[in-house]
Amino acid sequence: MIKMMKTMTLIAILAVAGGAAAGPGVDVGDKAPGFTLNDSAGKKVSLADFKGKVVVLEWTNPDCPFVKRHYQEGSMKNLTSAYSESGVVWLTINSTNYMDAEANAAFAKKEGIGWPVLVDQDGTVGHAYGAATTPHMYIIDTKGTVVYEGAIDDDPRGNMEAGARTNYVSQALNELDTGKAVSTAETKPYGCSVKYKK
Amino acid sequence: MKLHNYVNRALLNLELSCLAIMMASVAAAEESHVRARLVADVAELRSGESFHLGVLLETDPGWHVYWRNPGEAGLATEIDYELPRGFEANNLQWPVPISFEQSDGIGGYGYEDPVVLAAEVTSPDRVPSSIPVTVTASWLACKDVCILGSAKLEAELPLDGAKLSDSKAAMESWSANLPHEGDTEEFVLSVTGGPVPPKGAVDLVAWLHWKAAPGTVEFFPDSGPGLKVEGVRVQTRGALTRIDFNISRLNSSSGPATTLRSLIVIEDERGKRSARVAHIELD
Repeated sequence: MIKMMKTMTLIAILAVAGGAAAGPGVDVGDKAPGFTLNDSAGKKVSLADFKGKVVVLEWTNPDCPFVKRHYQEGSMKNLTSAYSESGVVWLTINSTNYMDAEANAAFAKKEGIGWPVLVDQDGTVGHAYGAATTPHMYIIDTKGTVVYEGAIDDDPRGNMEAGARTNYVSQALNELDTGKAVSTAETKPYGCSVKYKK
Repeated sequence: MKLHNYVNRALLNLELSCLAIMMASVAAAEESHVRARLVADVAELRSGESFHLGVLLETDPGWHVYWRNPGEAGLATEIDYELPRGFEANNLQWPVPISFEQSDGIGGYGYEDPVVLAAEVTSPDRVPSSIPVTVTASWLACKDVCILGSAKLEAELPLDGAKLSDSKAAMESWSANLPHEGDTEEFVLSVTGGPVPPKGAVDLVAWLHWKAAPGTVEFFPDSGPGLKVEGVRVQTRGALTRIDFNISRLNSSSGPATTLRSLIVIEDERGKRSARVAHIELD
């Protein structure tokens, strides 16, 4: 009897102490958190600017080998040119604590990036979305709901045969374009950890 | 976890860093901050008998490579085998990992100390006196930045005297640090907060009722591609441990998971860590 009471008391103590769930971050189905960030040229960009459009958020860190490989292979450029005509907005967000506007501008220039690269040096927006890796992809539909989050594709090592690789972003954008539901709404993202400010 | 059994296989693509092709059994790829060496415990090939073959990875101080579940970021280390016909490598086994913070709020699992990853190799009915083998290790090594690396290790088995005795120590350490199945003599596991639905994340709590107070307890979710586990938090008071985590299902070609395999790690009086496997029901 006493042993049981001791266990129950312990459970009670641990139940009160252990309330915290995982930190901030979005789940598929959530309303996408609004934000305003400066792009690499110093211009203010808000998610609200693109109300009614499909928006892709791409977390980046130019020092990460996974990001480097994708930029070398043209993954992001291919996607932006394929979908810009259908009105999809692409925003690259950099939450790397040691990269300022100038560093991001140099990256954008080097890669010939024609879409906004947003500077999130203090990590606020990254934490709001729960961005864990670079790259980490989020897709927001025209109603402002997160409909995809996770990896850009199923090939972390980049060594699958051409054509065998599934690009989850492309797949989701195609489905949204034809009015279908996103079939693969969440995958485990791969990449280096986002280098947040401590 | 991929094990290939055909002779000619394309090399993995490399990203940065020097690629050092290893002849014999030693690799030094300084820029990748990881050294890889082939290890095996076979002294003589015998028909129908199995032995172990793998890679010893040593990282520079402060650098880590990743466990089978790398955590919220990173990339699982991969070992691939090219063996002569009739020989098959199965069941790559991973010693107890450590956990670390990769970045603010982002956890990871892996190894900072030398680690052996090895598989069991079965032999056919007729074996030659020696066989050529190729073992390729590929990894992501991180400290503040991350560098992809790999090593292609070629050797004749059995290894000769000096290489074999070097291997012996590594293989013994590998074997001693493997998790073993948990048994109810040590703890009883119960879970609250389930079941895990087909879509959406849920917070689960795993409770460990220990027969004797365990000291520090660590928890490692061995989630495969079909599960995402985040926000692990472990608290122990006396003989009761509470493990909170958030879990959701992901699309997976292997179908919906019914259990979450995980490691429960405790430390003995001498500070030696050992792992037991626990299976957490999800339905």
